[in-house]
Formats: sequence, structure tokens, C-alpha cells
Amino acid sequence: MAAVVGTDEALQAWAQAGEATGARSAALDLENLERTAQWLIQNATDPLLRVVARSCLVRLRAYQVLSTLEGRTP
Amino acid sequence: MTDDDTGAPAPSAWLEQLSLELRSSAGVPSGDRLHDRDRLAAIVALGADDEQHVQPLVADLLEHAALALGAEVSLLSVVLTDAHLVAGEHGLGGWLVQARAIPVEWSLCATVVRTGQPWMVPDLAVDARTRDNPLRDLDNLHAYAGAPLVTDSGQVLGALCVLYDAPRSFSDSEVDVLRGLADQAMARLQAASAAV
Repeated sequence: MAAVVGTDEALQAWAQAGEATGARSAALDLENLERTAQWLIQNATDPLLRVVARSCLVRLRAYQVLSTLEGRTP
Repeated sequence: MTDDDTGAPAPSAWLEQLSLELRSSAGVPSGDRLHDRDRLAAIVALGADDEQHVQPLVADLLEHAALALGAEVSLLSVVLTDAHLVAGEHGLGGWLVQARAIPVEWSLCATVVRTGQPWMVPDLAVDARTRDNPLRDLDNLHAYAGAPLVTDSGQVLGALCVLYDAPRSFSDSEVDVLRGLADQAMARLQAASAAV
């Protein structure tokens, strides 16, 4: 995300999403990641932030399906 | 520095770590075409990352691609920053039906986006760039051909591709057919966007 929109904007967006969703764990687990990305898709004003968050969610969907296939994950 | 009740790191600690991670990742110049802001903006503007929007627009083109090139599966792939989204499909099976996405590092269509050129892989087991790709085992993928989806402004959003469970070669005329169908798919996406 930082590579697309810049570090400061990425940090600010994730901070807002983290506070809004309560995803405050230092280790950003899958559940927190999903919640944060969902929040960004619904609330980010920058369309680039939304598409990067969407990319993250789509990858997570692939990861979750692959996890059911004999532990094959990217 | 923990929350009173849960023992979890306080928000400030979480943000501090996230800040370090983001700054660290941003310190490496990407230069990757997948991260190009104009390309991503075009994906958003055309609604190309919405499977529900794209699938009905291109279903017949994908069926045509599969028939014309004798393929089991054809896809309209939109390559995002971290994942290859199956925005349209014909004949898809297995885990991809549910996932409709591939990690970007496994995506052959990502190579098409990066080069902007059609890419034919007659045998994934032979090509050094695809030999170790997990999709060979997961999906019994043996051959691939993809043509770029290029907007009028020159942005490459993804690829229209065909997949095979056995090695095969591709003729120039087949590549032309694939390229023509990719152009038709892009024309439809752009027309749908302009009509809104």
C-alpha cells in the first residue's frame, strides 16, 4: 500500500482503520487484516487506497481457500 | 505498554510497529508496473475489479476464446497489486471457483502486465520462469497463452488468457485471435464505463 500511495498516507489510513475496527494487535493477524481492509474499502476517500485494500482482501480470499487444500498457501 | 484488560499491545505500540513496517517497505523503490498509480486508477474507473460487473460483459468472448483456441479454461484476469483477480471466467474449476484469485507471485498474467506483450508458454515444465509455479500441481496447468488488456490510454490492466492441462504450441494466428478478443473485452469495459 505504501508503494502505491506513499508511506505517510498509508500509515494514516491504516491508523484510522485500526482505531475504527479495534484491530490493535501488534501482530496483524488475518482477522485484523480482513477487518482493516474492509474498513478501508468502505471508508477511504482515495480510490487508490480502496483498490489496494481490495487487492489485499482478494489475496486473503485466495489464501483462505488454499489453506483448505493440504496446507498449500502462498 | 499494554491495554489494561487484555494485555494486548497499546494502540501506540501497534502504530509504531506498523509505521516501521510501512517505512521499511516504502524504502525499497518499487518501479513495478503493477503498482503504477495510473494503471490502478484505470482499474477503478472501469470497475474492472468487480467480478459481478465484468463477468456478464465478457462471458461470450471468453467462451469464444476457449472454443477458438481449444482450451479447457479461459479467463479475464485483472492484476491488482497483490493478487490476480479472476474478473471473468469460462470453464473454471477446482479451488479457483471459490477463490477467483491467485497470489500475484504465481500469476502468469502479471508477466503480461509487466511486459505489455502477449505471452505464450507451450510447456510450463520447460520454461524456467514457470517450472516451479505451484499452479502446475494445483491446477494441472501445463500450457498458457495470454494477451494484454490495454486501455485507450495505454494502461495494461490484466490479460485475457487460455489455460491447458497438456503442453501445446501456439500459432501466430491463434495469438492474433487472442489479442483481438482482449481488445474486444477492453472495448466493452470502456463502453460500459462511458455509458454510466
